[in-house]
Amino acid sequence: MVELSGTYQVPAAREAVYAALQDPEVLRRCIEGCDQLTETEPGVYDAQLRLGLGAIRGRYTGRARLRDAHLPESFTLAVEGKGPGGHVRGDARLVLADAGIGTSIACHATGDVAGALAAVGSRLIQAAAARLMERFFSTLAEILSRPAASGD
Amino acid sequence: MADTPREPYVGRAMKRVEDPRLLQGIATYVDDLRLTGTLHAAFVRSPYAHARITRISTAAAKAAPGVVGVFVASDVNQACGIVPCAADMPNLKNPQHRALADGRVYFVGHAVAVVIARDAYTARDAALLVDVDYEPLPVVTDPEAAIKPGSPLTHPDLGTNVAFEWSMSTGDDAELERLFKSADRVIRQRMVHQRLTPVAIEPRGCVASYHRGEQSLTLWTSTQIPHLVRTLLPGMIGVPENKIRIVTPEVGGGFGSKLNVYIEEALCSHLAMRLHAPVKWIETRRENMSATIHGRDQIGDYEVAVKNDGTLLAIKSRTIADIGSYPQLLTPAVPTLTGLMLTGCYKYKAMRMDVTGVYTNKMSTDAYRGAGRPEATYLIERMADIVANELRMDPIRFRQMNSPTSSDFPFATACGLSYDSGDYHAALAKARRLARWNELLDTRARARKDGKLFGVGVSTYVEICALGPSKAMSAGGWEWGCVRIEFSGKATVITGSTPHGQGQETSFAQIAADRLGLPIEDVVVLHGDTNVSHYGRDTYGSRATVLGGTAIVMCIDKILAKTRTLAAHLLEVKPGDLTFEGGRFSANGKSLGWEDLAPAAYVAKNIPPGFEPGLEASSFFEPENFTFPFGTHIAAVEIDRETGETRIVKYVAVDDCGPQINPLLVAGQVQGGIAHSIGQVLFERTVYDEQGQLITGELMDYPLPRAHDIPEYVLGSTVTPSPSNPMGIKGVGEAGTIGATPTIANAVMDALYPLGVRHLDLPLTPEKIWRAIHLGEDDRGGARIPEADRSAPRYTTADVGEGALEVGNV
Amino acid sequence: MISAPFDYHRPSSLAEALSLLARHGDDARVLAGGHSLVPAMKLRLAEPRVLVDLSRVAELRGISEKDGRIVIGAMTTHAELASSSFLAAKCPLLTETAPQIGDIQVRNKGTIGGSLAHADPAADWPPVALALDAEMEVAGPSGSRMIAAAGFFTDIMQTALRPGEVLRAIRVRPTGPSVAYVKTEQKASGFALCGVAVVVDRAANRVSVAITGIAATPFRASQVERALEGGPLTAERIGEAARVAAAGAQLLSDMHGSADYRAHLAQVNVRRAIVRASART
Repeated sequence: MVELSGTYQVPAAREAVYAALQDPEVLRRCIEGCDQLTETEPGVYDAQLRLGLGAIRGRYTGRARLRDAHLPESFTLAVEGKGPGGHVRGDARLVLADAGIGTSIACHATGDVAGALAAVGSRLIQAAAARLMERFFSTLAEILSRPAASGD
Repeated sequence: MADTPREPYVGRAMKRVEDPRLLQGIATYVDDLRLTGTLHAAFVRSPYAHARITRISTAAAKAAPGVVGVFVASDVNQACGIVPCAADMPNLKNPQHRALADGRVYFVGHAVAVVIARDAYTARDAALLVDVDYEPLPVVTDPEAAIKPGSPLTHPDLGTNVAFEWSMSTGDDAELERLFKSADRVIRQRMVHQRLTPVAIEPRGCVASYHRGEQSLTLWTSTQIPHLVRTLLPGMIGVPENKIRIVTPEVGGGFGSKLNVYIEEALCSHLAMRLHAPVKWIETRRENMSATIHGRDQIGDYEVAVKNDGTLLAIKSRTIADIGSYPQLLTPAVPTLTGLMLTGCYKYKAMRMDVTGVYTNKMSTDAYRGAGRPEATYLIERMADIVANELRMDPIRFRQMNSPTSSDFPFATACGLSYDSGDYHAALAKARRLARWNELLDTRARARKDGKLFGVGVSTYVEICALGPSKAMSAGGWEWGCVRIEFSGKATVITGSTPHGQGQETSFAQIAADRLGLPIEDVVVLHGDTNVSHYGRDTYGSRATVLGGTAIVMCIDKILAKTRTLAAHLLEVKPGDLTFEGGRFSANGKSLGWEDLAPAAYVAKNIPPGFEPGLEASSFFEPENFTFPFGTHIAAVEIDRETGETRIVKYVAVDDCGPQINPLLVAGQVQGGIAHSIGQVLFERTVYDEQGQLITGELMDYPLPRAHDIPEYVLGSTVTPSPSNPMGIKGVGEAGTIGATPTIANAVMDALYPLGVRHLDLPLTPEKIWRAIHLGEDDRGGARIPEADRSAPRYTTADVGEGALEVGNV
Repeated sequence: MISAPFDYHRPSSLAEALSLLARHGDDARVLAGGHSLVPAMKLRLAEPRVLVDLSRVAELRGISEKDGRIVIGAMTTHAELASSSFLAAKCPLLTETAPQIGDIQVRNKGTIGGSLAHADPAADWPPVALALDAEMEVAGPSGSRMIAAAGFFTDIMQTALRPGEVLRAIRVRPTGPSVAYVKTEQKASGFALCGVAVVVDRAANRVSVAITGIAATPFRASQVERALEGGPLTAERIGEAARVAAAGAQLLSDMHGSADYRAHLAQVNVRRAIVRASART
């Protein structure tokens, strides 16, 4: 099982952060390796992803569902991914709090990996997941610090 | 034909006749077969250990160019039957494992769908297009937790994780309890026999071809047991036994993992019939690690009752066997073999073993090199050291006083067996001599003085081989053979004990050539095709040479008797006046050889009255008992105190497998077996995580012994013929791995003894040893050995006649 | 085991390789010896659409000396490095390390550049590059540049190579004989559970120590190096300095070795490597 926790600061108000975290385009940019992300129904996102580390990068289809949302304090993203290397599922619980002029986001994620990925990737999965999370919030912070930035 | 008498072939260390084709890469394995129009199978397998299948979408796979069909449970399960379990276990709860998962998967690697395509590449790609949705279910991975109330269930329908409960005892449990009560001490130890992956170099694979006109099926499969497959496959796929031909081309290793009938064999056979084309499947290494049987995986609580003078009284074992998620061919039988051997080579008065077989969400366990007997030898020989240590006795002296002497044979064991022959003390003495025992103890003393961790270990083992008498086997324990003198006078030997690397094409030729008086080049040994070798019970349990070899001897005896009447007729003498030597029947200065007698027998114009033409005989050999090979192994190890790494500095094996047909083959079997033990003791283990994910699913993570892990072996033997077969032979395929595991483990524990470490479970990885040294962790749970006891001498010098030292392979 | 379909290119010049990489972008992967990429492809953990095989690019191969630096082509195999008498004399850390990689088959195909660019956290060459203060010569669409080893390994399996760039060569200074590579193997894979590369520069009275296998990236054990600055390399000082070998490292932990054990191995192997290197004169 993979387990990750972290607290991140982003330079925007809580409502803005919350809104950004529901925005498919923002999510797509924050998830490293995400080629496509669409909201298929409210709170459900389908994604095409290239996940991995370095040259070891496989293609996955994923679905994320928003759960237990308490506007604008907290929500859980339940994520499922499938690819030739295996299956991934996990939950990320995000809790937002005012922190000065910005917002702090506490994220606790747990996940399970099944298949070849679990068999051969065990030493890399935790690292890959940690990297994904770090990248996610650093990109989010970047996006929110330049609210007027023109897309990509 | 040689006129001068030559040395017999039997007993000679001859190179294998199999080797040139194997070494030149011109042998034929299953994957080398190329049948016109062959279709290729690829499996979709579960990534989850336990899950409900909520949806399978095969549309995309079916639409892929080159795909012939995609099949799921509802398409094939009815036609492919249930995986057979031939073990005699009356109260076994069987989840009825079928070809493909039907609504629920219960181990990682469980086949969910099979894709058939025009080439293997298309099949593999299309398998990935089969989209399966799983809803994970609670997973059972810990067999001890699995039998507690409230545990999740591997098979909810069975209502329990207990697959079977089995007990055996000397008979009188009151006597057993009396012995335990009267004992000066009862010494207990829990031991974990870790799960192991067999890893044959050639994975499994098969090609099935159905002849619609003849309505007959041919299955080429990489198996140890073509005859058993032929017996059992009809029950799965409905083709009559006499319309099935099983062929084993070259087989690149089995170690028990190919002593089975697997779903892929039934599925490929069924699909070949259904699709009117040959169907081929070659296992990937990942499939081999996850969906071919595993070995060992017992947890035992052992109790030994002993007197203060070292006399062993009784032993009890409470064993939990984690058998994985469903029974394969012999799954429940493996721990029962442990029970049969529980008293090892010792004069225990009573024993009792209780086994609980437990289902978990893992691949099945089954017979893996030694099958139950390595577990027994490991526990009994570790126990011998633990008990001797607690009594502050020399472990060798302790073994000697508790084992039968040569005059005690036949020796009735507390497990109800009759050990037919043996001289355990002679093997022990020889092993000590070859190990230069007294020098070894000096070396150890010096090393310890220098602050090094140096240990010696001994095990005196006995095993049950030549499986076996039919009364002990569920599907017959005999062996079949056939010998034919061809028209030309050359001999064709056909055996039913299908070798897969053991070298019987050579050793059986040696036996036949000697008995027939033919040069070995004139003898060919055939096997592994049920249209040629009609009957057989194949190769496992160190049985092939004893049973298959004896069947050949019986055939030759019949042929010689028959030929004698022909020779007498042609030479116009009485049969009793003929002598047979060097392949010739002679009387009165006249003689006839096979080149004369064979044509006469086939032309059949001048034959005695009532003489059946031809020179062919077949025989079934039914042994009256198992055989009981034995021996003593001695190892010396040095441990790097800082890193915990173990180096084997000396390894001596003295094995008694009776007279040796080919000492080179014997040495090869022993060496390979010891290598298996080195892996088991020092690093191998199959690991499922708490989600039931197999995290040793590739050779990146499952360590096998490599050349640099193997020390120089000193091999020796003693020869105590078995009275239960005419050649007196006993079998040697498993001896190495049965004798070596406790030997190396005992040596490591001896090295750690001065630090007060009592017991560590296998594998004794560097980290485990490091933790024991530096963090005080051990698997005994209790306190360390008291300081005062650590300097107890353990092992004493002995007068073992070092003046008469033999060297090399003796 | 069968990989996903891919297009295969085998350019014969670096320029052609770079243009293929430019054309195919992120769909393309460079194939060197293939001992990490190909197994990952067979397990479908990697599915590049295009492979650019550098095995026929002659200019990426071989060992030479230029401007006082040893230049090793990125496609030079471990076996070629192991058997180079030139390197044995000029930079023996390379000839000591190469035979400790994998087995003969791996060494005959695997390359130093492939290993460095793949940046497996347990690979053997990265700590050697760090201890030698190697420079990575990189070719890209906009020309060549040099990257110091210290800045090359950015994260687990991540390097400072940019998209479209190819590692061309590794440049190192010659060293004396006082070097060592001491490794504890992960038993199954042969990768390092903990590998330590040491260069003792007697003239500068300085010790370089780099460690692989215990953290997400290989690293210079700068605390050990500082502890040894300016004094004699006595057994006591070496032992004392080695204690901080893993200090501050984010330790990896898996079934092959816990974080505790890796940290311990780092101390032992650092001490052994420095002792061994300093005994070689």
